[in-house]
Amino acid sequence: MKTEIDNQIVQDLMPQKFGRPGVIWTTILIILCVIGFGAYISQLRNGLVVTAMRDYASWGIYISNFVFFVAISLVGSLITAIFRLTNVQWRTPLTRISEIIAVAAIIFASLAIIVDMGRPDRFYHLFLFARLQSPIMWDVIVITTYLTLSVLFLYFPLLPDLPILIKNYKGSKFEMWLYKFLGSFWKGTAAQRLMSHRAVKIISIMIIPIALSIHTVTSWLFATTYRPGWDSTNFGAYFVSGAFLVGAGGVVVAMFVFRKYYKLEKYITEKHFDHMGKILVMLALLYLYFNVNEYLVPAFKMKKAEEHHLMSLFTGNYSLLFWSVILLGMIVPVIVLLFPKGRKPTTMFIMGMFVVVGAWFKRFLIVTPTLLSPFLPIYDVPESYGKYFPTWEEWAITIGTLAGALLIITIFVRLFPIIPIHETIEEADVKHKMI
Amino acid sequence: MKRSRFFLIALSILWIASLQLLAQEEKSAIKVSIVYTQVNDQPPILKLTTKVKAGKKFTPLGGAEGSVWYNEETKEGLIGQFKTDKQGLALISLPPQLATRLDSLSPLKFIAAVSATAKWDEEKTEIEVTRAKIELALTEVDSVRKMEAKVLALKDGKWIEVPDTEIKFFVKRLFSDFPVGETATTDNVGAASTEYKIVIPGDLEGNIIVGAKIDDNETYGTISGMKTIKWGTPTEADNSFYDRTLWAARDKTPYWLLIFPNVIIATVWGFIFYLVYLIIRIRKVGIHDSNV
Repeated sequence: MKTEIDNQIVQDLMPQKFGRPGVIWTTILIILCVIGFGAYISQLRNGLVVTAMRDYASWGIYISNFVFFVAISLVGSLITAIFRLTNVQWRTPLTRISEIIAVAAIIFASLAIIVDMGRPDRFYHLFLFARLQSPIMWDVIVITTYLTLSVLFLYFPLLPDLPILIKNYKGSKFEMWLYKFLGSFWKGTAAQRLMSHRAVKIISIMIIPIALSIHTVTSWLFATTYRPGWDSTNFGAYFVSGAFLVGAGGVVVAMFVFRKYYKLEKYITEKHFDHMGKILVMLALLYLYFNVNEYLVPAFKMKKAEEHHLMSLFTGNYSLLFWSVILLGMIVPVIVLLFPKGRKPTTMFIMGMFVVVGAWFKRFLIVTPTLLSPFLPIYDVPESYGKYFPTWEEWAITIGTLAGALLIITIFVRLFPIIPIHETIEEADVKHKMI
Repeated sequence: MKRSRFFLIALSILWIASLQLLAQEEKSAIKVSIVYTQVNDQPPILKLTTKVKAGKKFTPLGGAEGSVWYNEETKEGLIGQFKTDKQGLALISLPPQLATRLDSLSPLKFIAAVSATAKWDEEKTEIEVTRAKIELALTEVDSVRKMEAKVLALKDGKWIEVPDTEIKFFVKRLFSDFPVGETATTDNVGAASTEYKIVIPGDLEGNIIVGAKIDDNETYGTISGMKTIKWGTPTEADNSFYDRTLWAARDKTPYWLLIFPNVIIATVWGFIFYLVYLIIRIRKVGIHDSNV
């Protein structure tokens, strides 16, 4: 009986070859990446002048995109570390999904920063001439650390699955070589399990402060600059709460897609959606609370120097986007997900999409309107410098990075089980014994 | 049939004509003004401002092009051409052949015209300026500092005192003038004064630029007299860049910022290396077990 269940789990959770939709999806992602790369070559050749960034909006969608990637990567620490440490039983099918989202996002967060550089050939100067006084240096340090830890956090729990893949999966030569290279040495001995358990525990504890600091430091890139909308002592908590929200939204979207495409209804159940829905409500309310603090308090005072920025969001050029993000990205998900019917998979997927898309535009609203409302007016510039709308190169590169992150997740899912097989078997065994 | 065709043609003509009329009506009302500006004995500058009517108010009109003439709109009288900036402002210096003869030519007449475009019609203005100057005297008796200004105008080749004219005293700052005392009016010998009581930062030696000015006067334009004097508080040179500060170069990083983050970085990366070591150990144990 036990072996039958185990075999069934192994069979269900094995990586699957792309079907037609998978091939189309991957091809689209590759095309988007290639277009983005072509646009980047154009930017390298002609300089940042190909972007719409000028004296006023010196940070555009590249930095918004960077902040978005950093934010969504925080989900790794939420689902894997926090849930693991607090012994949340239902977390197992979601841990690898969240960890690969974290790894893919943090890789492209690093690339988004390089894309924003006028002279990327001098990237190594950051390390060679590092100034610890600069918040940008702190960001480089925490991103590198978080990426390394996230990769390790993905790898250690993957170890017990690799021998299962070697034994049961009939893949290509490359796939088999990869599995053997990564985990043929895992025998599941007591010593190995002890070391792996210790490693996962260390990472679970370490990754929480590192994850908090990665997004806090990113918020400090803004908050240490004296500008309307950024000059806030709340920025760290505001960014972290927003990051947890978008991360959880991202996991919900991924859960739905993997469940549907790989027919994982037995493993990612409606109960998982229900739990994640409740978490989303809590995180959306928390982020809404910080938004009220960030906008309502300055709006109440309406300092002359900050009026232009606030009014551009409330009633000006960015008002439609601003209110859409607040409503669709926060308030609507809270209302819908408060009801049990709202926490069904399809509704959850739609709300997850609202949260993720809203979060991307929220980052744009944090970056650009502030830059277009400087405290001191900039003289002697063409009128067009007072506005910012990204050029096709900026859109292509940004979409290319988003596609790149999705491509990493897609390739990972193609090669490795998206739900930990060994852990699922262990849990099934425990249940079996209890019965 | 014929009648309806005629009706259609007539309607089209009416429609086109009304469009034309509407297009003509869409032209905005604009305003152009010139202010003659001179500081001490420096060459005068003409400040041109263009505005456009938006609702009931006139707002700055950028990008308006036009010409400025001295005395008459002839080729000889042409001083230069201008295009106003985003704030609707353009500055024109007088050519040397005119600037050096101003005293003999006073009163001076300047004409400015904004060229017509599809959005507005041509607009002209002219001013007549009498040459004037402000003689500024700064005194300090028993720690009482005083600014005394005398306004003189050039009439019939002679500098004569100008009574009953408003004059403002100020300290020149980076973006605008900081007022000193209330606006004063010149007495019958063209003099006005104010006590200097303010405390304001100056340069390293305490130098500040103080002045008196007649602002946008319809007879004299904007005339100022300025002087540099050590009435400011000396600013201490900020040499902290060479100390260990947050804004110093990397070799001047504060010790606390070197120690604490590096301790944290070393600790965290120590654990990461330990994790890598664990992978190596797991591998070794696995290979050893396979061989056994």
